[in-house]
Amino acid sequence: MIELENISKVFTLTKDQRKVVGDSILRPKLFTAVDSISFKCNASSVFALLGPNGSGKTTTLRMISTMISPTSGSIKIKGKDVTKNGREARKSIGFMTNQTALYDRLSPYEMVKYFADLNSMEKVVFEKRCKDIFDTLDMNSFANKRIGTLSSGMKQKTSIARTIIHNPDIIVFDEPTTGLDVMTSRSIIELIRNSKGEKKTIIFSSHRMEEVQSLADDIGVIYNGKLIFSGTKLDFESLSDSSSYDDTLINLIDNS
Amino acid sequence: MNIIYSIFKKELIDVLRDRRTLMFMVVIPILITPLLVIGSIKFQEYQNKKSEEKILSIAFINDSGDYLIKELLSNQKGVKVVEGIVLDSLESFIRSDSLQGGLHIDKNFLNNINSNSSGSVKIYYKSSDLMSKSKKRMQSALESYKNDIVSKRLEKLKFDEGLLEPLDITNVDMATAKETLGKAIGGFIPYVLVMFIFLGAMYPAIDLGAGEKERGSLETLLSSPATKFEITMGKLLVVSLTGLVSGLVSVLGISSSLFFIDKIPVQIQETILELINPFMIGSIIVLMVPIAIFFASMLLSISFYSRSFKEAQSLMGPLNMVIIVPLFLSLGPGMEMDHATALMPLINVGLLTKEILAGSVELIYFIETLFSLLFCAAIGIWFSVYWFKKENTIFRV
Repeated sequence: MIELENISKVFTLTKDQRKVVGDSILRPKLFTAVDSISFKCNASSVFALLGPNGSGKTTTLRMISTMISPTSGSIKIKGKDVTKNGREARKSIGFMTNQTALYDRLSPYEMVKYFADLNSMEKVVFEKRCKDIFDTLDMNSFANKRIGTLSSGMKQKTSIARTIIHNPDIIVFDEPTTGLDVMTSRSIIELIRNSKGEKKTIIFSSHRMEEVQSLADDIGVIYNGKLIFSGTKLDFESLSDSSSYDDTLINLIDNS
Repeated sequence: MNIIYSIFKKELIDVLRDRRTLMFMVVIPILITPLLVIGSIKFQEYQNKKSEEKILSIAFINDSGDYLIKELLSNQKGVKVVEGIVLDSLESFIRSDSLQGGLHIDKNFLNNINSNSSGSVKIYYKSSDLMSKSKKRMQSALESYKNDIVSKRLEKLKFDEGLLEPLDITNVDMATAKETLGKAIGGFIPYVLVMFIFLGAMYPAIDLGAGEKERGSLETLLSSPATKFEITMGKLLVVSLTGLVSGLVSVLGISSSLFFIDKIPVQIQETILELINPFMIGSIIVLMVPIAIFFASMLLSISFYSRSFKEAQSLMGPLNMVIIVPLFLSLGPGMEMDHATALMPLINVGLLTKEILAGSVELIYFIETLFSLLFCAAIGIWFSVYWFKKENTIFRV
């Protein structure tokens, strides 16, 4: 379970960023990316985080993954504060974006082994888990080839294997299917579905409403750093007469 | 520690599979550097030989009745005496390279010589013509003439020639061949060494910082249980190691190249072999380690800050100058190792390497230099960890 309580993130802007954000006279030095948001992602469920670009979704997911620290508020994973137990928190997290984020000069096996080592996995446990994942994802034929020579589908499978090798209880997806083709997107959707079946906690951000509709149990909507909606999928659907999630989201943002 | 080792191992494998890194770390130092050294020496030899063999056209403008100078000039090797040139046009001939020089004998020359005074001679040449030995050859002819006149004058006065040489000086050089050679190449070695440590560390640093950002893999690495300190240290060790290897390979490359140059006397070759002893190698490696760590930390910090591979490259370019200047200063006249210079980073490397190669290093200076470099390395490590921990650096947009 993930619990966020009054989480805020304020960034100090660089000179260049200040030029972009403010006008020529009033150039703010600080920018509030996330403003006092609170929500819960329940165990064995999928939480979809929605909102337009620049609303604060990625910042929130990065704070959950402990890549950046919140300016105020607390984030708890399985009841433990992530700011105090960063390493422990990260051991139970798998993080994935739409970028495969792989090392071209390593093989899929070496890539997965690297992340297993970073998670201090026992060799025997790793070998068994690696075999299971490689079998499930049908990766054995290219397990020892350089990643740089693989197709995008093979790379995505490697990325998935790297994300789940340490069997994390929580998986964070930051717009995992943005810019990907249908086949590759499907493998990620399958991963989310399977992970839910394995009783994992999943949080993902997305712009693809059909994915949200088919995968999410709970939904949160962020706009301008503020959480303007948090509830179950049924709560979200009841916000509008329209059956379109796009329409519901736009109405929600317009009325906020 | 295990996580630092895991990061180190992975990054090392990754870096060693990168052709560009291998090129800068091994191929250039081991092949290109000796080729450059041998090539430049051979080219120099060729140029010297060419300039020695070149026939120089030298104008001889004689307003006096003396023809001994002309004869002496004609006897100089590679000189063709050209007569009939008017003094007013001499300048334009030399400027246009039609002539390589000119001698003008004043009209009162012979009278002055005969009356035991000084005869006036003007040498015309172009100092910008580095290949030309015209001045040297004209001076050589005039020197012979002068000696002849002096002898005749002394003879006339019945004076012994020894009268003009009251001192019989014999130079006794107490420097050993090792010291002389050590001081001579000692200025060159640290230059190459430091530059190659820098170059060898540069590409891995870019790849491991900005490259990782560009690939998007830094985010996934940060989401792993590795702390920012462990990530920085793992990467720093690899970048330092590549710099160190590059520096060592370059010194070995240069040292081995000296044996492929024909004109190096056996004695000097033996001296070089004497110079390359375990103490010298050990001392240089001990010096190289903190330099490599310092460079690695600086390069990695820049790389973490950069948004892309290209930006990192452009930011690192000017650093070359920052390194070259202190090394250049260490070669300057009057720059000697003392308690102050021993604490000046890079200047101390230049000075100490000369002392190590000459076999005249003092332990206190070695310790002070090492202390100064270790201090820089420690500051570098602290800074790169601090820098990597800054969210604005890593997620700079």
